[in-house]
Amino acid sequence: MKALVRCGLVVAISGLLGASPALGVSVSFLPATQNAGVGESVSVDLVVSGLAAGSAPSVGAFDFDVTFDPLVLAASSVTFGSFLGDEAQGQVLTSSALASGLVDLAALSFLFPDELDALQPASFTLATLFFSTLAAGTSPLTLSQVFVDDALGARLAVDTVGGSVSVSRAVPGPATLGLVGVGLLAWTLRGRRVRRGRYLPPRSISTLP
Amino acid sequence: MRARLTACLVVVFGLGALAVGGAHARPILDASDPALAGGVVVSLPPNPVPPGATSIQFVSNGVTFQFRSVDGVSSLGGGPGIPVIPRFQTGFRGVELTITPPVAVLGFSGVEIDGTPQGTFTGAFASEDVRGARPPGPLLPIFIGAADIGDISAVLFPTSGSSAGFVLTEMRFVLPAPLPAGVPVPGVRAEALAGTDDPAEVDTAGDPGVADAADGTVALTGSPLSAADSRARAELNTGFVQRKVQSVSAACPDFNAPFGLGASTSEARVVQWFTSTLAQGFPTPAGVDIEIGVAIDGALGTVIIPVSVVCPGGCPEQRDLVRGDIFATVAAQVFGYTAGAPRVTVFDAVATLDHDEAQAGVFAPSAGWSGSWSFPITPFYPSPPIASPYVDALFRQGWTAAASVDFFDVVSGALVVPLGDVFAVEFVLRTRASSRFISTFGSQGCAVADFFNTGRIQVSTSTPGVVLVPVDTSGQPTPAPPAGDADGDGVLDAADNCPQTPNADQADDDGDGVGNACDSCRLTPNAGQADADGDGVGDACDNCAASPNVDQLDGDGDGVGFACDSSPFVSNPDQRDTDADGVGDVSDNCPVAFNPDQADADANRAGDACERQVCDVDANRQVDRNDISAIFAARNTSAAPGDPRDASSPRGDGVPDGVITVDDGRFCTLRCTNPRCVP
Repeated sequence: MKALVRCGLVVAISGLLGASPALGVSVSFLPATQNAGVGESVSVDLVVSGLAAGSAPSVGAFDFDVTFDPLVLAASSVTFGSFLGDEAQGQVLTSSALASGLVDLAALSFLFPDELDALQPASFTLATLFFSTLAAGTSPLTLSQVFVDDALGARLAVDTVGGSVSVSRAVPGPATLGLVGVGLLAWTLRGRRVRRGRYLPPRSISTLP
Repeated sequence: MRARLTACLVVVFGLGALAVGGAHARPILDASDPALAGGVVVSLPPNPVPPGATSIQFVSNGVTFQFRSVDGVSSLGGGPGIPVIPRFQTGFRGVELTITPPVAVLGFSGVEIDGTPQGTFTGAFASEDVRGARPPGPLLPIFIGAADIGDISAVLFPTSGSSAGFVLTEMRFVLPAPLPAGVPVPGVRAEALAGTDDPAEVDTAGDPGVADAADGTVALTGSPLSAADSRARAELNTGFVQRKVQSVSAACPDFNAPFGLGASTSEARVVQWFTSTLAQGFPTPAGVDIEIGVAIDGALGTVIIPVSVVCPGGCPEQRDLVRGDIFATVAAQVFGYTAGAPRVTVFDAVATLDHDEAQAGVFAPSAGWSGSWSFPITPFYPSPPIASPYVDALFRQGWTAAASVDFFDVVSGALVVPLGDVFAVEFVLRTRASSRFISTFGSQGCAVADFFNTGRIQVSTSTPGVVLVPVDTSGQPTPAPPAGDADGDGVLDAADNCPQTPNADQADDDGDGVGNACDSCRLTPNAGQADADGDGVGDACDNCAASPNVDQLDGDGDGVGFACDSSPFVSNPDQRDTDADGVGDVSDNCPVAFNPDQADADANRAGDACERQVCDVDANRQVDRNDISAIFAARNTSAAPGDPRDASSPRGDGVPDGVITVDDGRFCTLRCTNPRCVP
């Protein structure tokens, strides 16, 4: 058993080391996984982390592709975060291209390096992707062609962490779960009374506390 | 109104609304100008003008002067600052003066009332707007006049109002030089009349580039006649090569002193005397109609202006290195007259070249480059001191103005002479040119001008049965050339080394069997007389064998004529042109890139083709949002070497990697010309 634990620690540590880029910068999906029913809309943030808040490195530009299962998901839109500059003020160029199973998104900031350093926290949302669910199944969310530049135009070493969206045919909603709970409670109370020899037929479910 | 009306001339002409166009003028602003020496002085006392008069005419020395109100308005009255005196009221269009016959030089003294007096003097070759120098106070004498524009036939005194003006008090004029009419001369005569600094530069022999002094004679070709071809021909050439060097003070802040040639005139004349005979069987005509044709052609002018720059304190960057203009006219006049009779103008034509150039940069290291030059330092350009490549680039901006005239006209019936009388046809060819240049960097400059014109005259008659015969001094017909001697030089065609050109001496300096008189290369043997470009200069001695260049001008002395020199201002005998853009390497502002236009938007003498900036996708000399957008749109595509969109590598080191990525875009945002990459 100890040998197994030791082995697990080694794997975990080595995995962490292997996954860490030189600057510790990573791009991941948030939430990493989520469930949805068919025909619903889901969104997922693309988050960069591992930066130094208020100082270099900061992100000056990025360009990457997000791939997914086109049988499960369809990309509907992309919104970009504001930490590379205010798009309305012309501080950033953005581009997104939605295709079947692929979203290409890129942004390039016109801000000066010191402005970017001051603007960006250690972790922030680069963009938010919106999908509509098409069919039951699980679609991975994968990053590829990942170019993330620092404020000086040098490419950052980035770790990418994928995500997924699981889509089911009928996923219980909160109201359904509530009814199930009420049923279970009623069934439990009834069992106790039977065991005590006092059985009173319920007047109605709605009168229960 | 007659001549005696001189006593009642007072002319007031107003201030001109006309712009001064007389950059080429030779105004006279002083009554003591030498051009007026020996002229006629006419006093114009301010006597009353008859009420209602709109024109005044008087005659002096056989010249009729008529002043006329342009708009026909006449009134009496005074003006600000002058006594109320009756005078010729000009209204708003001024006074027009006509002079018959024209005078050579004309000027007026007067009193300025208000503003600057001016007049437009129209001569045979040009019109000159002369603006007087306004004296500091009112009622001070002032003088305006003009010369060197050919015989003056009209003056317009413009006005912009009814009160301002200029009261004429005195007129001075010079009559044209007397003509040789009626003086027996050899059957054909040519003479250089005027206009050169050195008579040795006059060339009437039809061999451009070789002055008469070098020719040894003043020669004319043509004029052989035969019974079957009753025409006479004469060729006349005028031209001069004039070089003047004028130093201008070199103080940088005050370098707008003009330099250049000024105005110069060359003139030549040929007079041919004829008589006429009637063939048998034809009725005697009442008179013989003489048709005279004139053709003038040739390069009108070429100007080369090497300039050296001296700016002791350093010159600011300046694109307009030399500005200037050139003005030239060529005029042909033909007169006919019989002995002792006034001459009649048969033909009078003027061709004008008026080339204004707003900018020209001409520098000539070979003429002695000196001084310093400074450039603003920008992030994308080095800050070179003046070095050879840049000077060479300046050279390429050398400016030339060249034009040609080629007109031919025949006037028929303008000259009618009695059958059998001796008559003369006089052909005058004038070339007048002026140039003025201003170096915005000032200092020293010299201008070299070459104006050369060739005129041909042809005389014939359409009167049935009449044959024109040239005559000699005694009025006797010139003996017809013997059979077999087409040019009548006494050497039979079979033995004549110029059978079509009179050359009794048969001189043949290069010994190629072709006489000097008709040799296309007089000093280089070329028996075949090959002349591929047909410019009259044989290939064997033509410095542009494939480009017509009669003048053989070779500004840089490298043996290759200006007309075909890939570097006309910098010697390059090898004509090396690496990029084959037609601009020799020594003058090319980008020798390694094909850029025949030599575009150099920032005038830093390095061609745009050689200094296209990285990131500057649209090549507008700045990096801005438009460039970044273009890079951003092209991301993740490959780039050819030199593609301005490929600015850097993933290392952000500015080293192109052959791929356009967002890295390049971000890299370039940091090199934008303006903050935020604003265009």
